[in-house]
Amino acid sequence: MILKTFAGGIDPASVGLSQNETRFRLGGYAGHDDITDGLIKKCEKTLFSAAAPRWCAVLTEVSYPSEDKVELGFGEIHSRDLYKNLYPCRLAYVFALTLGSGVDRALRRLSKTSEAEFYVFDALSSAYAEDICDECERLLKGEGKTRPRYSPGYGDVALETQRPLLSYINAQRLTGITLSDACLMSPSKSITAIMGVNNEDT
Amino acid sequence: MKILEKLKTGRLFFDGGTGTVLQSLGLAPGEAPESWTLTRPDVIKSLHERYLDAGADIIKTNTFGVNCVKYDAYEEYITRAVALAKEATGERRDKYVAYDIGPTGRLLEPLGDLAFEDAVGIFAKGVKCAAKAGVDLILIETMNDLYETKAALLAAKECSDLPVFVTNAYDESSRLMTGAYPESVIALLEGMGADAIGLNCSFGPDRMAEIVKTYVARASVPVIVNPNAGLPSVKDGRTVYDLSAEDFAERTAELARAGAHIVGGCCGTDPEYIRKTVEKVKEIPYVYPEKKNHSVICAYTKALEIGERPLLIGERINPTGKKRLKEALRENDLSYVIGEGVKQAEAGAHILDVNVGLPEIDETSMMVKVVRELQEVTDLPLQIDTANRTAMERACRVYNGVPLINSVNGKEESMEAVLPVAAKYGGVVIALTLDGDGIPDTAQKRVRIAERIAARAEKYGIGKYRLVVDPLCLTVSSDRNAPRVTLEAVKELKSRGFFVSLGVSNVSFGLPSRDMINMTFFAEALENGLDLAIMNPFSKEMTDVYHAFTALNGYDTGFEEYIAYAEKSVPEKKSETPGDAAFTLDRLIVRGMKKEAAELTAKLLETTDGLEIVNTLIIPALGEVGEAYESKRAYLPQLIMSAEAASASFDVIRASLPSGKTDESRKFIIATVRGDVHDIGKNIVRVLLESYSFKVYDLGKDVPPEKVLDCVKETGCRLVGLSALMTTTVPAMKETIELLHSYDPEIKVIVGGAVLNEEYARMINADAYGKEATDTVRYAEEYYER
Repeated sequence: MILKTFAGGIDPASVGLSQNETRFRLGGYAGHDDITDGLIKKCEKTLFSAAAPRWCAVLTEVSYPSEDKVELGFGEIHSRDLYKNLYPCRLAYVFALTLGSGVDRALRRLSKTSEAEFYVFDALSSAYAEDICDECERLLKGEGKTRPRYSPGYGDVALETQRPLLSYINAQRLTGITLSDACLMSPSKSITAIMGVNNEDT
Repeated sequence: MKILEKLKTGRLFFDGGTGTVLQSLGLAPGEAPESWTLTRPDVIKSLHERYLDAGADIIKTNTFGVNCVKYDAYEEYITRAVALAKEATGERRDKYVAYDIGPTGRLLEPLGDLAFEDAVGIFAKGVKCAAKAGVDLILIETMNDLYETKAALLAAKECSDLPVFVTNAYDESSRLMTGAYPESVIALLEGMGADAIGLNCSFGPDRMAEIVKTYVARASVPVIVNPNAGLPSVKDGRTVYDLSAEDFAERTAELARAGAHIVGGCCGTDPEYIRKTVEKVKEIPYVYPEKKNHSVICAYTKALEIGERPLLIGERINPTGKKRLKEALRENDLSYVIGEGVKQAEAGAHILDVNVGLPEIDETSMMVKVVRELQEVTDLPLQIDTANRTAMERACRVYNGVPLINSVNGKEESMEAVLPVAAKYGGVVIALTLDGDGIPDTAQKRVRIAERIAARAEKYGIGKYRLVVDPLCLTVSSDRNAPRVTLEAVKELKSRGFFVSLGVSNVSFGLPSRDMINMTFFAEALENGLDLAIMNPFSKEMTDVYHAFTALNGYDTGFEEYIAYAEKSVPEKKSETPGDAAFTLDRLIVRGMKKEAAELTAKLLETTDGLEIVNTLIIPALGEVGEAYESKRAYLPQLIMSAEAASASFDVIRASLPSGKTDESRKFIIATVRGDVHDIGKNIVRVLLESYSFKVYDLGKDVPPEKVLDCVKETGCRLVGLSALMTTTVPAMKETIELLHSYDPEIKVIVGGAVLNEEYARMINADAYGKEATDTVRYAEEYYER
């Protein structure tokens, strides 16, 4: 059963781009290269004007039909890993976020105009999606204690879980995220996640 | 009475939500509302009846989520849903059943993976089925992507004669999810013949006020408003909306007072909401919309209104007199074409002309490709410029937005060919003042042709405001009075309420220092009221005139544009000019300075042989960056930038090779294989081969095996070079070789690239391995000597 829903836009001005994540996404870039630094600066500007982050989430009850099954309200998920991640949480947040189609348009444009900028912009926007994901996590948990978030396609949770998950949280209407036949999300800089809430009595 | 007639007599009411009501009746989360059409038809029918009893005039079939992709049995769902709605309306008079179409749930190309025509096909199947089942109208709703809206509307118009209503879902920024502003949406829908338009879902009535105002001010057709019952939240596992029926009705009444013609509800509303709304809205005076005359073109974001201020149309994507562009089109080199688009956008063009007509290419398929690719890199509106009716139709169809169509003229066959295209796809049409007798020599006669075209356009439902007349400008060198006649025509046309456009540069044809003539003529034409100028945005003289004119005539409040332009056009003080001794070509390449590398290459070519530049400067520079990268002194972005700078250099060298030198009998096909996008090595080999006068067919990078084989078949060339940089793409190389050899074992394939060696090449059955670029040239020479 869904207990609470959340949805809205996130102002890019309120969430910075994390340097560590950016460098990680740039293949372990260590800094001190003026050419790359210049590109990063330029792409950061493009990113902040192209991004229109949106997110939606639900707080839902969790049950565990067996030791390799998790039920969040949209069908049983067969996964030992997710079970280990969540058990014995009775509640979990299921959420999705996207940087929006403006970022995809910029990516496509750069892929045709400058490979170097494309590479850096792609890394930056992936990093920024993680930053927005952190922001969603912060907004959701407040003072509460939660488990590390977990995404479909990771470990033994099938990527196909995306379809019922997105439909359960009404992500298409609320965020514009759609799925291809192969269960890839569009806009491409989007993340879905499941995050258990620690029981108060434990 | 038919619904469109009825609408002229007074306000109509839509029903409210379906999915949210069914949830309150026990529909489980995640369960599809349409499933109840088959499993609980009584509930669906009774919901329709309750809405009709509450005062709704139009009820939506329970088909929002039904389409042929989701359901094999879509016909059954639609037919049964329509039947239930019709049973509910029964004998009631003037009640209407709308076939409800929702989004497919997939994003269209290029952002998603659903092809535009596939989307049209999906919607078409549903429309045909619903029309057969006997609905009164079609409602396309909750669309948050302009392109998908266009696909649905096209299907509705092509597969039925029913009235079509369209409502879009906006977000908090008052745009559709994929970027379109209301002005663009309105222009697209009206242009394509929607009978009523508006908005639904997203949020409650209070937050719709601004967008509704825009719709009422701009739309010539009735405006629909179907808001949610406010914002949702969850209470005890159930979704609730924050507006009560009373509050909803009160606020929706405000929207009716603001001019909405059809009101109803969306998520969270139920029959009680509609009953209260009908009560509150019934007495509000109803004003049927007047015709508005907004001349709007757009791509998928902002609308551009013709007549508000003069606008520039970049003319660089038109092969007439442009050798490099002709070559690019013949060789299918879209990256050059797209590059011209991007540069013009950066230079300040407001619209891009797209003309790809060359006798030796398939204009229709090229036009479609270029339109699609341009729309991936720029959101400027495009001008579809062609004399080929099929190319025009196809381009207007795939175009995401409202096009500028160039052109129709006073000839009977032209009007018959072009006006129906504009009537079907919307758009603004350029009308040339010529007819079967040619271009008249007086302004009055040209104006008469314009009037004639306007009268004919009106018959197709295309108002005068959707025409921009081009009174044509002949070169002054052949007729000294030509510019006077043209300028007089501009003035006369403006006084008769026409918008006016000119291909400004024609005036100087055949004269030296053309910009000098062009800029003065341009200024005069602007002074006479010119709305659109087809010109070269790279000409500083022309853009100077434009910015001075807009600043002097009050179009540039605060002079922000002028100041920004003036600052940009002052020559930069370069600290690292190519002329500096410190920056030789190899340094520029190492530093990834693309533009400078191209400039310096051109300069070097005056004194140095192209091949020597490649061997002594470009290749060593690439080697140096490569080494720096391996040893972690440089990073991937720099590596890519260096490669781009080297490519820019190559392009200049290649363009300098005398074209007459190519020996057409010595052909060579070259490609970087599928999955690999590293083409620097391939480009080096290409330049070398061309300098040895081989005719090279360069298929580019990431080339699938089939494409290489197609080229072999087309050209008859049996000599192929394949390149790969990554180990992961060697299998693709092997696959390509296998395909070629299975087609003809005599085909010779030479391979090269960083991951390969002699042994590896043998393993994948290549006929030869080229360690250095020159090895490939030697191999090719030997091949043709045999």
